[in-house]
Amino acid sequence: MIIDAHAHITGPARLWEHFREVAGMAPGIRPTPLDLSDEEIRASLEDQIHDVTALGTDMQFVVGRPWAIPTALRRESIVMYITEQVNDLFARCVQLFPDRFVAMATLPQVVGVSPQNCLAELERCVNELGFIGCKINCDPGEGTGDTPHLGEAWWYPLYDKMVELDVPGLLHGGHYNYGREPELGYYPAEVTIGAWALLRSPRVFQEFPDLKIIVGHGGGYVPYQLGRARGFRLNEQARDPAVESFETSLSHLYFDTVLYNAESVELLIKAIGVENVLFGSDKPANGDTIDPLTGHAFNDIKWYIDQIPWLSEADRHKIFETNARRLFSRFETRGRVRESDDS
Amino acid sequence: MIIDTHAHITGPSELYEYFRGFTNVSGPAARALHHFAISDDYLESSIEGHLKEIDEVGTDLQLIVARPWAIPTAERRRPLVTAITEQLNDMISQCVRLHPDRFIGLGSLPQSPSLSPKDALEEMDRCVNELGFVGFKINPDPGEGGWEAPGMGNDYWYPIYEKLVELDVPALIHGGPFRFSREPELGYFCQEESVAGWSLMATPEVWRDFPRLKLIIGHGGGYIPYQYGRARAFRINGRRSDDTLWEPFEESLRRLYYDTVLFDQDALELMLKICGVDRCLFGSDRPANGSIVDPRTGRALNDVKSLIEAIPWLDDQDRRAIFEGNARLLYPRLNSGASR
Repeated sequence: MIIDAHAHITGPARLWEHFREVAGMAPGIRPTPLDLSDEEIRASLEDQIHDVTALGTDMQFVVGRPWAIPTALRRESIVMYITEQVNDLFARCVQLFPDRFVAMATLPQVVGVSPQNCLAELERCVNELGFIGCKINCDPGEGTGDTPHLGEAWWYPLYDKMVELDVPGLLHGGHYNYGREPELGYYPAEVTIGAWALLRSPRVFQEFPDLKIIVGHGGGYVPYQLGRARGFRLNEQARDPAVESFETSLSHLYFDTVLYNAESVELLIKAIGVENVLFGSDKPANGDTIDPLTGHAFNDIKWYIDQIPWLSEADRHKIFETNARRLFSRFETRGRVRESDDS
Repeated sequence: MIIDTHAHITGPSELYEYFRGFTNVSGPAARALHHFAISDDYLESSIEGHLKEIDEVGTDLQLIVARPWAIPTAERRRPLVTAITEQLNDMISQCVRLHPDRFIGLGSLPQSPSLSPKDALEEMDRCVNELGFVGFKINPDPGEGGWEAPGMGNDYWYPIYEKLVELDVPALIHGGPFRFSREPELGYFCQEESVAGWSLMATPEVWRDFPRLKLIIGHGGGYIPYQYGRARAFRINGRRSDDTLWEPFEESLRRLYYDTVLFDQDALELMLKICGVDRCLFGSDRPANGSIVDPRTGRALNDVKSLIEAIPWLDDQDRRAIFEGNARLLYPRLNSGASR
């Protein structure tokens, strides 16, 4: 089985028009949710299912598009409404295609608001909707300095709930209205800032040893600048030998394979090790374009992995399936929540 | 010959204490900055450890420039930034005079949000024509993580590009202080240098206007080589039919140069494969953080030469190009003897 641990669903376009309208509403007006039909949702998913099947993907772990949640909008109630609607849409997608999709929760993150506000929605997604993980936007400030980094206790309520529910979190940027980076670089840069913060703060995994974090987009650029990061830790250890080794810190993080060239996928797996890498394709998205040099879609990442000569079949099996099953413990039992609801 | 194109010299710490005495106060005290004289003997003793370190790894010649944190970019008083930059360039020049066989100077630019690129031109002339420097370091983010500086593809930077071309000298793009950045030091340089690279590669007008501009992205190109596939896909998706300057990303990538300041053989191999041997210059950033010994190899992390030598698919010609030939092609003034 090929499990794609990094994927988004857009859904019917009129839902996003509705959200834009809602974001512009005067305070105090209660929005009325759209009445989306099953046919409408099914139709919005047809191309995605067709395209990922063509590349051999069996199952996708899906979560809201990075731009779905207006994090910089300082109206918490609107962000909460949109987030609930997004998660409800995902629950229906899973219901319609239970063999193709499993959902991860989108969180109602708002700049300057403690992640405490995400806990109830995360609980609802996992316990009522049968979701198996969540996406963490490590920069709800959208490029401003308004958000504490992921090594800070500000994030602990979320980590605590993730551990309690045993759900992994995919680090993934969101909107970037105030970032210095173009879209091209923003996502790799932000997940890297998130990963650096966790790597520099061994305290987090000492306090939450069961916390499971996946660094999206091939780890941003962590694998490429790993030597530099090791150097910083070695210098720290020279001053204080009690600090844990860089390898120990790194072993707590997982990485997806969302990289659009073979050389970088190979470097990622070499640098991080087979055990901590999960197949992810971010399909459908920007990478759907055919690479004129290879004739394959840029996000045909399975094709890159299949070509790496030093990977064994067992290694590939781990990357494509078993690492995801091991990390997402709720994957096996995901249907039961819904079934018990129905009965 | 091994030419290291990415190195910094600190010099005596008293110099920086002296500068801080001015940048940390306002009022009349800040107007009294004068030239801080360093005796040759004292400078010599402050760089003794530096010379020893580069001897240990077999570097013959280093292109040296002031430390990235040395220019007070957050300072808004123009005369202070300018005077401190000049003194740092003088210190670098003094190091070159003491060790003409080991060091060649690169100039730092007076940069801060209150200075415009035009304000750097006089110092650029002085560095090349009077001090014999062969190139420069450009800080792409004098706003230190804030928004003040436009991207490097913006014509805001044109006066500097024009001067670089006129003097026929390259510039190393290298971050500076980072007081307002979300990035820690670990990632800041890599990120800002990538932001600069993305901007330059997204703006073909720069290369149309300055076909002979030579820019080097420090620290292994930040993270550009690793996210190369993503950049190629975005470039193809972003193509407009009326865009006569459009080119594939792989061509844009090869308009820039990259140094080898990466402390990992696999990452170096990736960079050399993606960017091409002819676009990569040996750089070690030694001495610095990377001088720490890696317990796994028993060698310093910034002994980058040993990492390059271990790459099996490079032949002798490739290695000569990386270690020496590419630098000589890029820095014509290195060969002219003007600086020696």
